[in-house]
Amino acid sequence: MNKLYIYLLFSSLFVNDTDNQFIARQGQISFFSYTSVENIEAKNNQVLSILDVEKNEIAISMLMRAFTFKKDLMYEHFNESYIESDVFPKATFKGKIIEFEKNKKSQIKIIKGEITIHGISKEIDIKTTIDKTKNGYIIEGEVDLVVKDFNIKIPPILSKNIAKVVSVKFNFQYYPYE
Amino acid sequence: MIFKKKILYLFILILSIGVFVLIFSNKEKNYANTKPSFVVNSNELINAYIQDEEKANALYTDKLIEISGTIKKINYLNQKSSIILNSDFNDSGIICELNNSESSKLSKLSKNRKVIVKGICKGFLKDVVLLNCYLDTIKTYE
Repeated sequence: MNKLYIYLLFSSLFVNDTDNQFIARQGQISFFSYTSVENIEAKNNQVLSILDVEKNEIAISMLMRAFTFKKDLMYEHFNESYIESDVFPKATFKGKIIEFEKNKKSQIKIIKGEITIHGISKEIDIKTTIDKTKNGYIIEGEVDLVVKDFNIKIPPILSKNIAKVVSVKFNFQYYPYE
Repeated sequence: MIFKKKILYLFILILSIGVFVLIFSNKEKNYANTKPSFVVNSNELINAYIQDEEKANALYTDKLIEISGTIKKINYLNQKSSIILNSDFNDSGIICELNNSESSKLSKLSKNRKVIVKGICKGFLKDVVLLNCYLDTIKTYE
């Protein structure tokens, strides 16, 4: 009897957990740096994110080397000099969606959380649009990041080529966790 | 004589523009005929990352790798096609984002089909990620 109870308790916990979780294996993040000298744009189509609609939590993880640039030299500078991808291969975000309503068709909410780039963590607020789809959610939005907040050193000779504030766009399509 | 010289200058100019365009064009690198640094199957690759991510990164990241596996899913997202390969590790697979030139081959592929994919390994999240991938047609269709 006891065993059965424990079994039921655990199985219900397990089912609940996956029921509330949604995954985006191929989320998109792009960033833009606009200066009078040149515009730099990079895209990453393989960003992982997990959304928990019971705890209102969101976690994002991405590979820095999966950002693609228009020029090879930009990719090289980004990974080798600025981000140091050998040492810090990933950027992550963990946050909570404030006052998230899981059954609402469309909502604009603030996600409060901590972003980690180049080994440096920072608290940020992100305004997002959350749409409910047939079997999941779509979350998208935009946030501005200050390059020097993340201890990214840009040599003076190139400082005119790279914006002080980089705008980051994201789009995640979540499906039920298999 | 002067006319000939002018033609020569023009020729040099066109040639240098051509070289410039080639060097600075936005095209993805073409690896279709490049020999891969490693040849592995999907399980070996994922296992390497699960066992020791740091070691696997040092070995495989930013290298051209040829992988054999079976298709779990074919996706088209954000103007890019990708193939996800199965593995014995229930939660993980290999995401292969294809070079745009390869999309035409997708119509011949379906779920659970065995394929050989070659691309640049980028690391591991829940899945191993490969970009700029090519399908090996000869081996795939035999």
